[in-house]
Amino acid sequence: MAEPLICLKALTRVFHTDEVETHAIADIHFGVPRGEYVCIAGPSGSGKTTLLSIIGLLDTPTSGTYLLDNQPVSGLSGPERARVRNERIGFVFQSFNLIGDLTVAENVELPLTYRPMSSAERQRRVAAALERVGMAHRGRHLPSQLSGGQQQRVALARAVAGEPLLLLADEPTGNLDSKNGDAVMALLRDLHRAGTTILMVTHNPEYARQAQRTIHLFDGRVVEETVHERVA
Amino acid sequence: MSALLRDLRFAARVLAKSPSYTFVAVFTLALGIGANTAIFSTVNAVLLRPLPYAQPERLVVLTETQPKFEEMSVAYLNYVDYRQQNSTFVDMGAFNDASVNITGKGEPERLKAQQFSQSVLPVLGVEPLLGRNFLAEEDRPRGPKAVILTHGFWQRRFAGDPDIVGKPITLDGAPWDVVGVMPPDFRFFGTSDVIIPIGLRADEPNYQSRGSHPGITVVGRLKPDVTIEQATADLRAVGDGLAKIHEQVQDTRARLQDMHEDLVEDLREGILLLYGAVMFVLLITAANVANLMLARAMTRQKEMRIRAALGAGRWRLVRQLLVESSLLGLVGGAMGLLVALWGVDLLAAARPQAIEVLGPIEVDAPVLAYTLAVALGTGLLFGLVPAIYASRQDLAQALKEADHRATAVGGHLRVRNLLVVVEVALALVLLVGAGLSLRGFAKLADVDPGFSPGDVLTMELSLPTTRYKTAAEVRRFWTELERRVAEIPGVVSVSASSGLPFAGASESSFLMAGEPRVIANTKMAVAYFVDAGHFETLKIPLHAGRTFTAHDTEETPLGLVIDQALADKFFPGQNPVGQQLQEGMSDKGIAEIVGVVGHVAHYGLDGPQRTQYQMYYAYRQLPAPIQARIASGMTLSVRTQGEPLGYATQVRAAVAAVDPEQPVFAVQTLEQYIADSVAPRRFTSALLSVFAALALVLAAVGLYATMAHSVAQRTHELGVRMALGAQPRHVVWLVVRQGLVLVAAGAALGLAGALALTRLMTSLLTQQVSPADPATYVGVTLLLVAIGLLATYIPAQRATRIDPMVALRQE
Repeated sequence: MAEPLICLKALTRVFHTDEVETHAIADIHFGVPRGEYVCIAGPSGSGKTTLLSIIGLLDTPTSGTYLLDNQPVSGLSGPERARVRNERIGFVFQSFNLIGDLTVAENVELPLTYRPMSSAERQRRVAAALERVGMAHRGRHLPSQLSGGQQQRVALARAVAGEPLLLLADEPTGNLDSKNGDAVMALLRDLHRAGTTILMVTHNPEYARQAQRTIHLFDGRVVEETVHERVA
Repeated sequence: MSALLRDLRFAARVLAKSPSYTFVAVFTLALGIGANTAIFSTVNAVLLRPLPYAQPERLVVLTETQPKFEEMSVAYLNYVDYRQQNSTFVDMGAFNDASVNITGKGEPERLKAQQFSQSVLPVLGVEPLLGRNFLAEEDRPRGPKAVILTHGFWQRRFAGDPDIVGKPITLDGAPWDVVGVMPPDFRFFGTSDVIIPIGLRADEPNYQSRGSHPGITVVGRLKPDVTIEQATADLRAVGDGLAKIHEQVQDTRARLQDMHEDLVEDLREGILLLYGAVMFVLLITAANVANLMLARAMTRQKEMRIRAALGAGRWRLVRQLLVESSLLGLVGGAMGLLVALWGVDLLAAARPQAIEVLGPIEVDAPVLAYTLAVALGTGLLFGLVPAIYASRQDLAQALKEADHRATAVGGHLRVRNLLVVVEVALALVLLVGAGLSLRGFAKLADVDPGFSPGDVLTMELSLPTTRYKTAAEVRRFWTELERRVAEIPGVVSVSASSGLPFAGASESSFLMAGEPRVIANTKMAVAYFVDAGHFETLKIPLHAGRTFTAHDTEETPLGLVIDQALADKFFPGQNPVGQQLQEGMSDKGIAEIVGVVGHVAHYGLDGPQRTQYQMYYAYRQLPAPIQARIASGMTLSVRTQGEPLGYATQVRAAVAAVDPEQPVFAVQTLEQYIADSVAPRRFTSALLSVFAALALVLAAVGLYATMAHSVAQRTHELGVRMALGAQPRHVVWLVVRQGLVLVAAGAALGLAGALALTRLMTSLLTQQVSPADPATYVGVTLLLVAIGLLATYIPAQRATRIDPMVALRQE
């Protein structure tokens, strides 16, 4: 068994609204080995996005342990979490979240600007990432000039440009038609084949089956794990 | 009309629904409009309000001019001839300033007097409130002594006694009959306590010499349809006739000026400068409120779209928003009026005497009308751009929610940025103006006046000729007083003098030894008449020869001490001591230079010195009649150890010991004279600084509001950046950089504007500071950038607290 990249033990996240205490996730235990492609599934409100946010260091657990690459990360300070996010994690969101005032190339370059790196190296990585998603020819365009599928490809390029250990994708095909959705999923498969660890939230069972394993959440708890056949 | 009322009602409801927004807008407007109204009340009082005399546009002021003197007072006999021989005036009257002592009932007191010819009040079209004007026989030498009281003095000294007319009062030891009391609002070239006839002195030597110009100004009323040019030509023809008869009138010409212009010409630049400054503040205010309205327009886009979808035309939407902004302007104007009333009180308390001459600064009907116009105009000004933007509706977007997938800068944000740039630019111009004037002020403190003004107490005494009839009596008084004051513990030295730097002095003519006595050879110098110890008391340095001693008396040859400027000009490379000058004050004609002292800044710490040279007479050496006249009114200067005013009581006691009935007046330090000399400039500089500070605060608030709104709008974008690993410093720099770009653009624009506009404020600048003073420009720019940085840093810091999860959920 490969060394786990992600190790979650008794992870809990409680939200307090007025006097109501809501357990978004409770007692989550699982690990993700380096290079695995994992899908998190479950109905709305089951805690998928909360779990992904904690794994992506956008949120902190109320209790429990989170080891990323064998390092405890749940107690890190804000700037430390930002550094880890920047250097080790790539994000793909359902709504792309590109910045409208920046060109495609600038959007892809954005996370690289937050780490010490020469301009030449940044340009090289941007070019490679855009090439990888087939968007090299649209580098100077603004996001508003692209279709939804193209925008999500750019978002994917932005996520991988920093060569992260972990790629988190939250409903990456949620805003796309089936053709563009398929294309994005194909790109994720390619990335996985290239060694990227992927954690994806999706409602689509067909896309879920493309992962190696699906973790099912219900009411904030892991209720089932399904191991899929290796994707060809 | 009913639609407008509906808009008005709706506007009131909308404003009431957003109390914070309304409060900030009204408060900002109140500051801008209030400051503007307060200064306009000064503009109105000084520049616009007609003088309080009948048909004031026909009143002119007559002075005289010579090739070497642009403006001189009028020789009394010339006035008499101008009045008799002109054909263009209804009449003219002569006046000058004087002082008298009042004794008898109550404390002895030195009074400020004006001497009027009998014709002054008819020329002005003013009549006394009680009693009458002077009679012709009272306005001539040895005529009955008649006095008119001013309203303030009548109230203060006589508690408004309604039966005062006809009663005698004691002035300079003699009884004078009160013949009238002036109305309360009467002002004429300043204020005074009493008015006495000028003709009583008409037989005095300096009134009988056409070469003497004893401070007389003439006011004249032009005949209907006569222009100043025609009247000038008329008086110059009279003057030409006089010049043929009287050698002293050669080269002397009449000079006429509109009376209002004469009163305000020295004030105009400073007041218009302040008015310009508050207009800048008002523009910044308008830009700030426009900014607020633009931000608010964003939140009302859906309302506007619904209205447009329901058929409201663009003009209808614009009108509704303009009604809202006008209502804001009017409420801000009403609050501004309260600020103005407070500001006017402050101005009234702090204004220099020069402004007081023109009457009260008050919020009267013209000022109220102006405030209404400014309030409405400002409302329309700041409402127009937001109204136009808000009325541009894309109906296709109507009722849809905004697309958050990509964050883009809207056109309204560019307008808001532009408004901030303009605000910063205007604030910088004001800051540079205030900085230059303050720096000039600071530099003035470094100017060496040529003497040491610290630790010197001064007070004026005027000995009445009725009790001090001879030069010997006058001399005895001063000798005894100086002796007693010198014995006061802590007094270092004491001296009496007629004329002090910054406090006024005569000017006297002189010629070089051997030069023919013709006007072309005449030179002028400030003439001080001093007692022994003067140079030591003022610490004016002796450069050569000696100063005066008690041995310089009428029996010894007339000696002069000259200043270094006179020595350098007329005795270059020579030792002036022992050389002679022809002087014009004594009947001795020739005086020997006994010493050379440093030049003192007589007319002010900087600026043109009207007369370049200075000469000092030992007053005891002058012929007895001249000595008695000069020494009857002198200033006592006392150098002390420590706070000079602390010695005032003891010096007053010394005066009382010599003559219990002798009042003293103008008790102040020599430093106060210097402070008074810069009072108008200090007043304008202080106000300019207040407005610049206000502009800076308003611009900073505008920048802060824009950046805070920008951060709020960019929450999602900033959340994305933070999710991608942006550190707090990256977010701070992103926001601060955006703000600094606006500040830099505004600063560049402001610096260019300041370079162009500060050349208009020469009256506030000293010789030591140029309008392009680099230190000032750099200093205020750094200050502006620092404040801008602070205004930007606060929202930037807040941006770092954005929770990326919350931001991402906004999608």
